[in-house]
Amino acid sequence: MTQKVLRLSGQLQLMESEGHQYAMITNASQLATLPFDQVHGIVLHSDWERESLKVLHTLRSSRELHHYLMPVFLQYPSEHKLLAQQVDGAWERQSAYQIKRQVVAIWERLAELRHARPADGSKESLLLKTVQYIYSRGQKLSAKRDRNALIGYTYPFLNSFWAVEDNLHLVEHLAEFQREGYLEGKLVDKVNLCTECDSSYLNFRETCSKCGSLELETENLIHHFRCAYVGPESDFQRDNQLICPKCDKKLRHIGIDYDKPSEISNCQTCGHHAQDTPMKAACVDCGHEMDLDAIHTRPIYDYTLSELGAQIAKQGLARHNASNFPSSLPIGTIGWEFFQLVLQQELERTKLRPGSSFIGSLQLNTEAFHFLGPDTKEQLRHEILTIIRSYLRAADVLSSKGFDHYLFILPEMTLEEAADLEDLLQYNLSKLIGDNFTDIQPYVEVLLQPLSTNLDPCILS
Amino acid sequence: MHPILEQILPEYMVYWQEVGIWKFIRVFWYFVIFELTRYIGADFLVALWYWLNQKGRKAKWEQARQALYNENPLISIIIPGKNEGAHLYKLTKSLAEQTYKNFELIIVDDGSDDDTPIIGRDLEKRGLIGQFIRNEMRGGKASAANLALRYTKGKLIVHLDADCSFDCDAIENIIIPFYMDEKIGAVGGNVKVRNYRESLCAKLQAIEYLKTISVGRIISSQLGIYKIISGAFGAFRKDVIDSIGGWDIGPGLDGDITVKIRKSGYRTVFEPTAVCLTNAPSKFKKLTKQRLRWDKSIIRFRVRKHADVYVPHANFRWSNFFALFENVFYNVVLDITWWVYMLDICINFNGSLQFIIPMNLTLYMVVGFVQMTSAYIFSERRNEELFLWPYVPLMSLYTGTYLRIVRTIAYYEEFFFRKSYNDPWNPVKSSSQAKLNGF
Repeated sequence: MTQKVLRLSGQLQLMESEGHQYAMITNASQLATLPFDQVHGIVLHSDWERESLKVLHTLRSSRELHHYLMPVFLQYPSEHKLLAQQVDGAWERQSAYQIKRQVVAIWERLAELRHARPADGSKESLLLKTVQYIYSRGQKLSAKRDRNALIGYTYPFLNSFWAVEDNLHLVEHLAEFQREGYLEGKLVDKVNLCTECDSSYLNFRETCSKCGSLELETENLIHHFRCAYVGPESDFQRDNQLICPKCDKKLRHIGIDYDKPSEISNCQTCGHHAQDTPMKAACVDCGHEMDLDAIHTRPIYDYTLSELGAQIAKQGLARHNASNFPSSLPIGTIGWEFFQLVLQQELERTKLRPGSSFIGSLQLNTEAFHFLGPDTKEQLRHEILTIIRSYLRAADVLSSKGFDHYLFILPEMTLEEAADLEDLLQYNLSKLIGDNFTDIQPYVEVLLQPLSTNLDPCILS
Repeated sequence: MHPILEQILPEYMVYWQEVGIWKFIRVFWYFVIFELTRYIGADFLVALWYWLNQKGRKAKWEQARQALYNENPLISIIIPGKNEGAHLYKLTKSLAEQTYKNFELIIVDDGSDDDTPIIGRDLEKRGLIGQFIRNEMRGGKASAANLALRYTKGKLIVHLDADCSFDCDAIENIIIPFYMDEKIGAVGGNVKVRNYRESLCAKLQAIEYLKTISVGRIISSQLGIYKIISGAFGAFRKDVIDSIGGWDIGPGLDGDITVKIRKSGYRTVFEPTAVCLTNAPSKFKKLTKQRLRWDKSIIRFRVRKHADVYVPHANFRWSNFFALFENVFYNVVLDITWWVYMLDICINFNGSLQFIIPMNLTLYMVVGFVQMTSAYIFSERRNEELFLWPYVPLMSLYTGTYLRIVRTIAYYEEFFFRKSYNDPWNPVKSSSQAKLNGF
């Protein structure tokens, strides 16, 4: 492999290969000084696998697109299954050309993705990382068998930042993404999980239906046609022969003299005889014993991107969510980020003409609306925006932080006009919300104040 | 009165008045010698004796009941059968109502091809059945009963049919006799027809059961010649039934096992208060099939297999001799005699048949009502059974003609062709072995 060391900065080593730069990382602390914008990939060359896993965890947990989707290679092939699965390849095993092709492909796809920074640990973050990973790698997200994982399966990329112990929730989230149409799943397995600890390490065994003992001995039943005696094989065994205990005749020929119509199990603990010896599962991890009917079964899928998933990967969630709802917001209604810019601009303007502008906020008591689903909340937001808009002038600027918080800038407005508007909004919105949600106790709080640099933090919070 | 009757009746009365007693006996010799003596004479004498002994018997019964509850032995109730799943839940409910509670329930499914295994396993899982054992391959009723017997733990075995239901004290009453006499090896229950309102066929069987089982068996039991413990409801001492090797291949295995127990030196008794209700065939076609099977077994077992009870040997017992002799005589011999009688009448009195046939029917009707009266006296549900009285006149046609014809066919087929070995009631593998070995 053609490569040369470019720079040694502290413990950080940068390396060039086929015109691309790679950072040689041995521990997670090096990531703090890593110039991400200068590297095309990371090579983990720690001998200590745990440290490599830590690096991966730090990297994939990042909220920065180019960090968590950075191509990562292992210097040396690892025996550590999970580690080997979590990286994009093994540096030593692949040719420089192969690596280059792989890295170029990833970066080309990364370039198509919109940079979004959903909150850490949120469902949105998991969705975004999942779809973007699948998109950037051009591969499916495969479930890998792993007996160290509680549920017996891992999703290597996701498990670099999602605790393996909590994979049941991961699986449930992925299934939800599938239901919502972001992912397409192909069933690869079904795992049976302990009802107590969700472990898939279960031991199945037959038990006595009466005392639950495992000490069961199963015997054939023999039916001697001639005399109609039926009993377990041990009744017939005498001197290595089968002799009928009822008529003392030797059983010579199965199908002619006798047959074996079924089997029976004898419990060596309580002496109970039964044919139906219930299968029970015992959890190897926590020891809990359960009936098979009680076991939790979860399907495990390999995932690919749906069309919607690919769209999310490229455009981010915000745009997608917006596209799900009416996009024809009233004129003068703008997004929150843009509103903040306009607000800054208006603040600058009011420095020149103090007291000429007002800022207003309208808030709903969120807890009263907790039962509403996200779609309904979004529809409610749209309706409230439309109503507020109808009371505002064309020059006024309106935005919302969510379904329960609305802000509007009212340039060139007198105190009286502002007071009237405040009363108007308070009365009409309170009535509207009260009439539509009779079962709950909603309240609407409208607050207007002159726009100045000493803005009441309540308004924006 | 109808004009025709007005014309015929005086002529009919005059004919019988002029005939005189000896000619009457000559014409109705079969009825006078066999039917009158048995059903009116012997039966009423024995019934009277039974009634007179009631008080002493009651005291003995109470003592035995006390002994039973002092010991409280485990009873094993075994129910072998094929495709009986539909009856199992009701049966467990009926048994749950029993006054005697210390029993285990073992059900053997003899190769059912319906939902019986699913139902049985479910009931076993729910604890309503102690053991549910299934033979994937059908082996016949005897093998299923023997398999159940193999896994019993009780001191006494109660054998039931799955489609029966029981009076709440039936189990208690069928096991009390074991505590009255230690020589009792088996006790037969009192089987009555449950579905007697269903059809005429069922009604006639209900009357027949009342007469032959409820009363007939009280009498044969009193005489010590009780020879058939019904498979639908019978109790056995475990040690006794084990010693005789359980059931042998049927059909007719209930009668066969009773004879085996008697031959091994134990008494068999009938207990009229241990009442079990069963569904009788409601169509004559099904009834004919059933009776052909039952009647063939008389030849197969009573005449052939157990022929040794008729000849003197070391274990010869008069009671066994009479038990089987009475059975064979009243069924086989009298059946042949009846045909002789019919020929006699047709040849010698063919000009008077218009007077003989109505009189014959009248006589049998009278006997029928007399027998019903005795059944009424003994019955514990006599008011319910009043419903059957209007059908008593039909019994002379039912038992006197229909059952006789069926019986004759059965005896002929079994005697000359051993047809019972071809009965699909048993699987071929078992029947062929039984035939080969002369069982």
